[in-house]
Amino acid sequence: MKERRNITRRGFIGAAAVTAGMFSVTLAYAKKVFAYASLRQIRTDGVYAQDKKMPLRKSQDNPEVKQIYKDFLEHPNSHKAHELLHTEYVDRAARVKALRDKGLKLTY
Amino acid sequence: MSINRKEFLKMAGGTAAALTAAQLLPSCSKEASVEHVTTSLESPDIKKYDSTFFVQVDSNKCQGCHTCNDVCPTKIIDSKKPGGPHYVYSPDGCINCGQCLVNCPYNAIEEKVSFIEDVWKAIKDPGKIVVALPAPAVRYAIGEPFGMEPGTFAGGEMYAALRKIGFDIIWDTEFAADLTIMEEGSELVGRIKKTIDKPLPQFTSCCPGWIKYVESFHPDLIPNLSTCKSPVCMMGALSKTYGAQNKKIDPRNIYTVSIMPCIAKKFEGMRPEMNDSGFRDIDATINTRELAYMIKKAGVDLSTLVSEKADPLLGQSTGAATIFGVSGGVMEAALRFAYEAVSGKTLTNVDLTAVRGTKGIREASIQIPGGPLVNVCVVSGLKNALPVIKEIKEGRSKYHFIEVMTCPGGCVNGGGQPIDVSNNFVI
Repeated sequence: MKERRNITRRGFIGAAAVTAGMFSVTLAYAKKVFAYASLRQIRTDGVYAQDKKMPLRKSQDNPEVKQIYKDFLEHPNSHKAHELLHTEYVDRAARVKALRDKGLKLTY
Repeated sequence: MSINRKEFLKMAGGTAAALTAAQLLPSCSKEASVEHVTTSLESPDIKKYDSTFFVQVDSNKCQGCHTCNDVCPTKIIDSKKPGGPHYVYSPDGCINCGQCLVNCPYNAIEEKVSFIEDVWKAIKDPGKIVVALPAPAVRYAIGEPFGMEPGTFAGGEMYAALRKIGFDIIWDTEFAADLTIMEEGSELVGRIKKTIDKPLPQFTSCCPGWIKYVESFHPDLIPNLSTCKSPVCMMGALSKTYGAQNKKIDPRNIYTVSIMPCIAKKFEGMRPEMNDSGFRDIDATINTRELAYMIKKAGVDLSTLVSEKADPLLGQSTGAATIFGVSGGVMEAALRFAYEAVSGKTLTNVDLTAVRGTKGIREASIQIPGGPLVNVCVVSGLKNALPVIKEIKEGRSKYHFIEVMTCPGGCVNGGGQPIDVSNNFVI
């Protein structure tokens, strides 16, 4: 029959230390996440407050936007606008496939 | 104790070897702590833009806590064994968002690409007209490194600081945000009316992390991306064409600096296709932290400066542009435009709160008078895009327009913004 193992003093202190350590790391991480989330909210509030203060609040009312269409771009999605303001994209899937083939577990 | 011949030779040899090594590898030591982030100050090789690590883990500082993997949208950052040091495996799966960097509790993640030295060089060059193109979200965080309250709007002080450190012209990326709305909104109306032969839903294309993600992980959705360049890439192209013509400057002498709350914008600015002006549209890209670092290096305290204005021609902006800095902002701005463009009526209440908030996926339906019912969706945090993408691939998406921002909360929480180190672990 197996001998029942008692908790030794040393074992107890070891376990307590590990528990305390894990607890403090968790707490510190939670604090960081909380502070981070609130910082994001404070900046967001700043943005909406400034939007309310702006004399003009719609893109189509921007005088310099009207000017550039009159003098240069003609109208939205014009040939000139397409030349300068629009782009095309590159298929990079082969590179990701190569990583997956190497055994990397990437998300989709 | 006297030094004998053998010892002396050994010492001399060691010193000579160390000196030679230092000369051969000047790059090894060329880094700086930029607002708490270790940043390599080597000039980036633009040609190698898609094989460059923009962020990497310092394995000496990494404690293996796995936070970076938790926040990584693609899981390209990981360790070989649990609890071991983490690192970014390849530039290919990394979309350069920098969420790992801002979330690392040990400040163990470094920036590997910085244009700081290049920008100083351009500023010192009397032949160069250095143009600052600051993004909306920068002005809501640039005050923080100078002791201003978080969330303080410091747009005017930012303009003043940019002039003080030597920028010649400030053309505001917010102007191009307004222009983006005109282009992207018109494109959306075109897709809905079927005058543009492209599929619905249309995705926003402002976020460079999102764009690289679609290109790498869901290339079948490329036709759904708006063909609009991001605002700052529009700005670069316009600065060297329309801007140069009006100011009567040779575009060859214009040096455009994209100033962003973002790391992925560095990749975007280095893309070879961004050359529609006939030159490199974006010469350099720095982020909010790097701008703060430069302002401090120049001995300027931004918080004490008197507010200034951007330069005319490409400097004016509206509320619709400034909200580009938050998740839901591009959507709200586009709706403010589309409503009036389609109905011909004036939108009286411009606060479209339905698309605001903190949830990862938000949706709204807007009835445009005399027009269609427009179903929109806002995705905050790239992880949340997956269910929305799945719906589209299965052909059951009801949306017309979807905004995706890689960083949770949008650009105000971008990977290039000042980080709060007060709650970091002390090691």
